[in-house]
Amino acid sequence: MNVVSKDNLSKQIKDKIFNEELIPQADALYNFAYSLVFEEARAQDLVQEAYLKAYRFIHSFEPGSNAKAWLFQILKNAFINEYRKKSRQPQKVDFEDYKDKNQLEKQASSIDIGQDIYTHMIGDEITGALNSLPVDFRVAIILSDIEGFTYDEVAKISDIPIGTVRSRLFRARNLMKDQLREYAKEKGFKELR
Amino acid sequence: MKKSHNCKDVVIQFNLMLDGDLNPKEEQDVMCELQRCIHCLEEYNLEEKYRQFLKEKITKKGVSSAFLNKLKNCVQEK
Ligand SMILES: [Zn+2]
Repeated sequence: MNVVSKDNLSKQIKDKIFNEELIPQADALYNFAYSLVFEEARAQDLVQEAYLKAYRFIHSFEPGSNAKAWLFQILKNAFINEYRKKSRQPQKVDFEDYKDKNQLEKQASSIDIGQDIYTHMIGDEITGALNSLPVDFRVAIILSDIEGFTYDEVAKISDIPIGTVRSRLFRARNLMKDQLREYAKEKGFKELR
Repeated sequence: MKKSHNCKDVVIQFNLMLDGDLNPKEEQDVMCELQRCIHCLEEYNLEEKYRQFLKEKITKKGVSSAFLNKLKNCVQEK
């Protein structure tokens, strides 16, 4: 057979995909890793592991498809494996409570953060608020609100159903806003409502 | 006949809309509801502002060129 199997991509093609499609995602990937482990060296290790794995499985990547989502998924799996190896469980949150619509409504009704507080906040406070959230909520906000992934992509990266993405995001955003409100109170800003 | 306006439903819907989870017809419905209720419109504007603010102000770190080179080199060794 003349056709080159995708498993046998030439090194030249692999390197081209790696350098042109995967490497440009390094900053976003590093930020994601850092928000999971909060340590520069460990974040770099995770990113490196993700890139090594990506290169090894590069034949399963469709050039021109969503490299960022693919790499984020690999990194998230590397992070979970790292936790398993250390026989520690990632901080888990029980989402069962947030499934039904009544809960969503209850959450929706609590969205009323005052506009004024935003303009006075600095990046460190926002980052602090985000970092104080349990890891699953933090990841939901990073993937959706900061990196701009769709529900479908967040579901794939996080390995959860789309319905869970929706409810988790609702809950995560409310927790985030609660945190911001706390920061604002500490600094003595007046809430609008 | 227009269905009655429920603020809590609209808040849920506009969040889905901002997440890109609604089709154009559903989006149009949400926009109509926002025109009907000043409270919902304010909430919507606030939510938009919040999301913008989050994207702009969150601290982002970049990788150094030395680390980028390390990444490129480590796959070459494999
Ligand atoms: Zn309303």
